[in-house]
Amino acid sequence: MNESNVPLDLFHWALALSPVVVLLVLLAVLRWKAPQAGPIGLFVGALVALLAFQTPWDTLAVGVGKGVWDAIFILLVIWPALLLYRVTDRAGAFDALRKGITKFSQNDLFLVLAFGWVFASFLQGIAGFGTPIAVVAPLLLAIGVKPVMAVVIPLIGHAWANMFGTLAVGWLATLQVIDVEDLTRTAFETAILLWIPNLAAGLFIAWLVGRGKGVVQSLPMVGVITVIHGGGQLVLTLWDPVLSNFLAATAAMVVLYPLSRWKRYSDEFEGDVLVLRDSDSEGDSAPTDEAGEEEKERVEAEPPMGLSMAFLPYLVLTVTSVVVLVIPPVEQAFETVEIGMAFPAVDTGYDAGEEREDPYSPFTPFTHPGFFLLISAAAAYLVYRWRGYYREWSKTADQSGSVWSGVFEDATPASVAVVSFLVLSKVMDHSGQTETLALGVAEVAPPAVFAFASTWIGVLGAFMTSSNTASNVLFAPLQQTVAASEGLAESSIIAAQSTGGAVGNAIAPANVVLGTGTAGIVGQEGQVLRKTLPWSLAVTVLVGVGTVVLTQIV
Amino acid sequence: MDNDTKLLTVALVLMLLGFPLTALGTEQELTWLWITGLVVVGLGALIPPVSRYAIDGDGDEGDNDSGDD
Repeated sequence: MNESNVPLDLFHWALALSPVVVLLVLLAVLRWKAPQAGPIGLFVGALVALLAFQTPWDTLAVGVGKGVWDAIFILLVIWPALLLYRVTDRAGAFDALRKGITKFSQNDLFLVLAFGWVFASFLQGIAGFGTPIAVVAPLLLAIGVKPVMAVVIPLIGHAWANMFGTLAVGWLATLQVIDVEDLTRTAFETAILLWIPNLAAGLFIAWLVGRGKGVVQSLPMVGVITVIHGGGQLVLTLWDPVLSNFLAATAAMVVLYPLSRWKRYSDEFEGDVLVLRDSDSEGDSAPTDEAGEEEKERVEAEPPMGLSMAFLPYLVLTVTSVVVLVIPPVEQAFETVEIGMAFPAVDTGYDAGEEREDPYSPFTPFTHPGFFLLISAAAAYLVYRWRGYYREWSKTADQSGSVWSGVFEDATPASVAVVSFLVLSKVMDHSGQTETLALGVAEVAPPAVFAFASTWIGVLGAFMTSSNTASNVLFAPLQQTVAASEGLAESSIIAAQSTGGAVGNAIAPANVVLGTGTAGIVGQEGQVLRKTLPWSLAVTVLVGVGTVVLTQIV
Repeated sequence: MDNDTKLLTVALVLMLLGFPLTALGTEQELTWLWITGLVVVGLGALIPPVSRYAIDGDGDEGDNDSGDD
């Protein structure tokens, strides 16, 4: 395939940016729901491709087809995650979690950090692909966190773990597309930069919970956890990047228990907890409406199960994921079934082509996170039904509608949005718009500026694809080439790309929609972005500065 | 299932159909097939924004703000 010569003038650069701008304006400013905004962005991207980037219709068709396939991969997480949520909620499991955990620790700051940062990171370490958001958002709801915050917190809490999480799938994919000169140095520098979003996540979540008082109260916990997370991952990359995040995140989970025994984190947080719902159902003035009365009854009722039974699905999820993904012979056996279809080579008038792929991005259903979520949902349903929890809890909670109608109502809007975003991403990629965006930045930036900007390119890639892996696959070759021409250390620029790709997951529309879908607040994506976007921008600036420092001293 | 969910389900099914149609059509060089794939994805993608205005009137679906910050 010829080297591309995509246009690098301001006009084309602005046109290439326009679908992203349109999406952001519709979501964050005009507050359109994601299922409505996504298709508009898709149409804008397709029009720009056809009219300004010399994209033939068959190239567009290939981009669209690949985008739908990429989306299916994510939908296979969303639907089982929502099924798991509905199956457990109808049995009273979330109410049991709420009551049981508050006996374990009365400290909302500790609980929010434990679930939204530590547990979310652990899940990213083993499962990834949106599982942390899909699982943790409902758990945070169960302990009384406001729905928007229940989505914001795990989005921010899990971001740092994207690169080396899921057994370093992002790292391994990067090595598929570029030949890295010094693997150890690149992994080590990546882990240095990833420590920034890790620490920033802990502190920001604490600030969301209790502002300054929350941050001060959280400092010992955040300090301990970030040393284990960031420092542990850093040290472990010197040994084996593949296990670095998984082991560090697991160690942090274990440390939660002794931390919870410390009076500072077992006693109630002495400050206003700003992320909790303003609920009067815990004994304050009685609500007057019927719905409020039902909620009050539900909150005061004794759930049909204890804490350990409520955690059963998550234990099954963890065990099955670890057994299948960490034990090589088991993983190889489960990976023998592979599904995918071929796509031909295509090109554009600017030689922005794609090679033939047969099959394109095949997926192995029995090592997919959706499979583990499905098993967890099935295990929960069978055990809870056998123990009579559904029957017992139906006397207390409203059980109108079937589990499946609930899943459809939650999952369908999110699914339409995810498909739209991923199709847009692939159309932009296949038409050369993505390349124009990245090269345009590199063209105008002197070395130090490019070093700073390289993180932003990674963020852009993750924003568009909702995937650290995909961002690296898209941009790592480009970043490596520009680094060489600018005389910058390849290891630092690839580290910046990877860290940007991780941070970008906190604002990626498909991830946001995954969260709002599982939290039952589709349509409030703009509200979520209004919290995660400032955090992501600030962290990207810090990582950019860190990259410049790395290029100067290393 | 409410009307909104039914419409979105139709939109989703149409968009998902686009994958096998475009994959087979482009790989086997069957122009009519991949064009059909593009059309069904386009139709599916049109449903949500059109329904925002066609069914909900002026497109104002009320405040999406639940009061959560």
